[in-house]
Amino acid sequence: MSGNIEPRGMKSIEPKIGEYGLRAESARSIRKILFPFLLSLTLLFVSSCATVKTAKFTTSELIGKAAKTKILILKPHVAIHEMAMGGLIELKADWTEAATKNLNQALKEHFQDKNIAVKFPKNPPEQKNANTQARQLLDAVGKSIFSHYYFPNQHLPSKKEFNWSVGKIFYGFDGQFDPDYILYVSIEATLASGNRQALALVTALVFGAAIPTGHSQGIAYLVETKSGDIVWYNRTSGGAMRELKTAKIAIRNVLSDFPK
Amino acid sequence: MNRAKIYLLLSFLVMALGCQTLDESSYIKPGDKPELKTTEAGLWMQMDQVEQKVKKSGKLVTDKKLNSYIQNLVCELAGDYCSDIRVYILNVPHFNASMYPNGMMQVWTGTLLRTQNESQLVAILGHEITHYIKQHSLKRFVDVKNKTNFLSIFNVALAGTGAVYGIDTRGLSDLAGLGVMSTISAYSRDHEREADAGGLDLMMKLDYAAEGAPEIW
Repeated sequence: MSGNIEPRGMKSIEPKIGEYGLRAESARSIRKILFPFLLSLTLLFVSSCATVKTAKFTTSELIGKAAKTKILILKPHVAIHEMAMGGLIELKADWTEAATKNLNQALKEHFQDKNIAVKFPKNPPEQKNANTQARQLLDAVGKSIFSHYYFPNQHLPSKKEFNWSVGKIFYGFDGQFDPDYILYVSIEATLASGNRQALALVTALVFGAAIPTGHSQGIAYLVETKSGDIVWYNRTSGGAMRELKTAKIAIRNVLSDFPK
Repeated sequence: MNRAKIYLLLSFLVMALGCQTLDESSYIKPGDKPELKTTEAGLWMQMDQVEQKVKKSGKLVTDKKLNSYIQNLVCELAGDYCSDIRVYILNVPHFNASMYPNGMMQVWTGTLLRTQNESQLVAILGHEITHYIKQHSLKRFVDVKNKTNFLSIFNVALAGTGAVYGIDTRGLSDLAGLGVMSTISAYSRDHEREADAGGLDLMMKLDYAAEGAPEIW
């Protein structure tokens, strides 16, 4: 009766009989194996390094009430997982804790030399009930945006332009700071364990088919407080952020094309 | 693929096969929190996030009397573990209660509708408390991890062998998957039995009528 754990990776590997040089001369089969292997290795490399410009926005300019634009940064979501050899995903508490620390530091440094005042609420204002509703609505709209743009079968046919809003629910969200904008950042990563990587290498070499070895994703969006419009949204490759250096890269990526 | 390659593959796979140790008799001590590096800490962290959502859930029953009544029963049963277990009563009209590895216990209102007396209710609470004390969530997670690890190696070895001898091994692979699934379920049933027995012990210590336990069903 405790939490549901779905075993994963039960069907990840299937023999490809007759596909890669069975009963053929070994030279030919090696050539056949080598190409897909190198290809998958290249794809793996490209997928983890390249940053595709994906930001969607309705504004490229920040407008604040004061000389310095004020942004309230909601508690970021960070989760770093490990993928076991058989494919089971395990949340790593120590990695996640380190990544959260690095991400917060990287966020702080990112806005330092810009004409922007940021605030990280110590006791997140979403503790209050009305604010909880605001956060949940923001989460729901964020999920809708994600599925609309990145899940083809959940695409909303009548949604032609990037115009999303949560309404004026964040108006007066943090009275003292009185933010012009609210920023939400979420970065998740799943890393293959040593055994999983070795298994992926072996299956790639022997069968010419790689098994999944994890992924990573970063999402950020910006809400204009006075209108409730989501004025900027971005999805990038994220990162595991085990060091401050990599956290800075992840933040730079996820905040690329951020309104100025 | 030639035979030399398959032997190389097999020997690698055997070397790679390692199990995370799982002590069947282990239990959590009162007030204990897992070390950050452990699998258990990851489960706790995950469930802490779920708990934050439960706290803000619209389904949460906030009636003070009812909450303190059930929390007090849990405290009596759990003894030294009292402060480790947090009860959340949720307005869900189905018969269920659940225990999470971090100490969050959920009791659905359907359970309160179903139980006819305190002894029946206490049997359910004792069952859930035993899940927590015996670290059943953790044990199941490690069990699934070890078994799916084994399965991945088994499948690769099987596919390799099949490729060498030109046999379609997919049926055998599916069968192995089903076999592993059934051992995972069996292991989970073992835990349910252990929780039943543990719950019975806890309620008997407080002189509750043991008939309460079977009467629920």
